Amino acid sequence: MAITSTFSIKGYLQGMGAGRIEIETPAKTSAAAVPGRVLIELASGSNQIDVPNGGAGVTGVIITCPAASTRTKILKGASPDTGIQIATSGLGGTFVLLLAGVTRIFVNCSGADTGIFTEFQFF
Amino acid sequence: MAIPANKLSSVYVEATLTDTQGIVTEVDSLVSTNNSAPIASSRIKLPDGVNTITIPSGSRGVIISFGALCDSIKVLKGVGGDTGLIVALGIASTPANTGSMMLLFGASVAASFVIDSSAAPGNIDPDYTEFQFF
Repeated sequence: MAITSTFSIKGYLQGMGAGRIEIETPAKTSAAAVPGRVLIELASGSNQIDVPNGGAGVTGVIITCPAASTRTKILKGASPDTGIQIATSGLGGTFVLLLAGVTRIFVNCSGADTGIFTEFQFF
Repeated sequence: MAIPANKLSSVYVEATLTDTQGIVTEVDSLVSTNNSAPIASSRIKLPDGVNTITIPSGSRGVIISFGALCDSIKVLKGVGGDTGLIVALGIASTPANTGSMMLLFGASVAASFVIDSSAAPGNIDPDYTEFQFF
């Protein structure tokens, strides 16, 4: 029996005059998941996060940036990238990325997150 | 009935991992709430190459859904020159690799991000990609 992963994105939108609109994306399932969990105190500058199993079989990653951090974080595919800002001081949260054959991801942190952990749950 | 002045969004990720013993690990993420959400959506038939997606002001994040018939590789980037991250391989891959994902933004997010779509020459993506900002 292989390890199975399933995820979906849920929530709601309201204030458009049509009541509350529910969000629920179709469940994404992998019958041969490659789970791996990385908890890391991000250092100042570029942080390389290796994807388990060299990325083979990995469907995606759930990333949680702690709101307690005062650092700006930028998600990148390679260290020199411009990337996408994913967190700033006091503004963290959890999101999910699909990954397809990605061997490593990079998070640039504006300073050391000493004692504060960022979580990567691969699946 | 009065229409609320503020548009509100509340989004989270729900996931499970089932191991070889049948034990289930549940992941219920932190809920991301935005009391001034732009609530803007767009559906785009992405052409080959760099596609710049404008981020509406006030966005906390975006749910990106690659259509079930997308048949090209999609790379998430900050700008066109980035290496980026491959996030979908399309139905041309084995196994098929499409679906939905979600990004959160910081407080001083850039005005846009990029989805680079690379299909085989002459192979225009037959399906739409949806962006739901919240």
